[in-house]
Amino acid sequence: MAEPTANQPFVAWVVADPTVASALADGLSAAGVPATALPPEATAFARALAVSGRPKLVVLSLVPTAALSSRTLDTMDRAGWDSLTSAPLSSTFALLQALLATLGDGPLSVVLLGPSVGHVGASGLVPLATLLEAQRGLMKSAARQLGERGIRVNWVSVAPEVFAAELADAALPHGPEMGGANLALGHAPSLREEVASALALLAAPGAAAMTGLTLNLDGGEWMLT
Amino acid sequence: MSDAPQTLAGRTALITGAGGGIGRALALSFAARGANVVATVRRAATGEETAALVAAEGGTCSPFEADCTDYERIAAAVAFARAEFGGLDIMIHNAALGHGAGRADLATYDAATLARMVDVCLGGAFNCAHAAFHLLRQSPHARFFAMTSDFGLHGAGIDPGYAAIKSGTRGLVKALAREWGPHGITVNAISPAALSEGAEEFFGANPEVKRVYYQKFPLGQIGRPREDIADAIAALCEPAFDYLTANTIILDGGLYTAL
Repeated sequence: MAEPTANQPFVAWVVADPTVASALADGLSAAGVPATALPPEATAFARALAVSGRPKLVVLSLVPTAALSSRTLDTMDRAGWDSLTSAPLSSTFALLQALLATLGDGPLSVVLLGPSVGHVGASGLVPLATLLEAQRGLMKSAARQLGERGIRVNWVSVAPEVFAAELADAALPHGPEMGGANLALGHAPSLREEVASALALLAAPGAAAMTGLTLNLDGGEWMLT
Repeated sequence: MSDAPQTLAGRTALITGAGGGIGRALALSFAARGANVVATVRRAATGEETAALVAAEGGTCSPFEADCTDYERIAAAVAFARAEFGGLDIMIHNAALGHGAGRADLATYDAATLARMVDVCLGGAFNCAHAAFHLLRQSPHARFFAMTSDFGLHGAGIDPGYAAIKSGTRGLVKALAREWGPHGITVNAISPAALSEGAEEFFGANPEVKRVYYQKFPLGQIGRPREDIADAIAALCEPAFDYLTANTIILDGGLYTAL
């Protein structure tokens, strides 16, 4: 991961829990997009801007660790539900607002990232699926609002077990193709390599027309409609 | 007694937000097909109105004052359904809340407003699902519906909060459908384009917006709450749709075709 210096502008910020942020920032840097990991705090943007200058790419992955634990809805209470849905969704809004307040207009590529659970659902992960799809809906609306300001907003999904080791134990649905493992690429793309490379593409000039998109980088398992 | 076929006779449906709009239409449609309806409302007077309209058609509808954000009240409504009608077969979380002030910018979106919207749409869905589970699993044709919106599908630029919560509803439905499938409960989202009282008022004040918007509908207009939306949802409760789950049923006259 690139270290901040006064003279080197960072091209990408990655806002996520430390494990995801580190993997993506390292991967982006290796892909030629110097990146730094930031904590999911509204004040982090102003600090990073002062140190590194404006980014071209901001990746936000705002999933509370507790939401990765499998638990059926009937065993939850309302407070627990809110802590996994309402609270992180509110934080997502607040962080996007802080980002806009800090950076103003574009050019800027913003990517929200999460496991693909929201697309296909999973028993035991109802709050997580709810949160992810809410964030994805927000992504679309933000893309509509911010496009004329030069800010593009997209969504990237990754395979659940790649996103977090905790999800490997969940009752994840397998893709619809007959047979066992059925990933077109034969594997789930890793955060550090293939996913980071795709994120770099979303900040490249060639992605100037890309906004409001959902890129499901699951190795070709589900192939969204 | 309604002329409609009594396809839901003997079944019981609980509908949140049944004091107007689609919720009231659902109460009328379901009762017209023979269902016992528990109409939950925030304000008792609107529930009484709905019940009176149902009664005028010969149907059965019991109003129940319950804010969907209050788990204890929703649980009480479910208990009432069991006590009054012997069980619960259909749970519809219809109540919703939008920003309600025209275009709302993400940059300045009010946190308290968002929290209230999330509370109604997603917290309410949790309350309904959690409270109803033990009865739905006993029904041979159990249904759980949550109302989403095309705003959630296309990510409406005029209201980031509403786009988020309605999209989130689809995530909830897909995951819960997997969780409840083994219990024989189907879980689906409905995305209606309906001329609610609020929409009617808005279009009345903005006729040019209405003209342009209506042109986007292949069927030429926004749906009627009862005939185009509620009657269709009632049909989805018939045994012919026992195999339909984890879906978003888009009742929008063809407005959104990008799914």
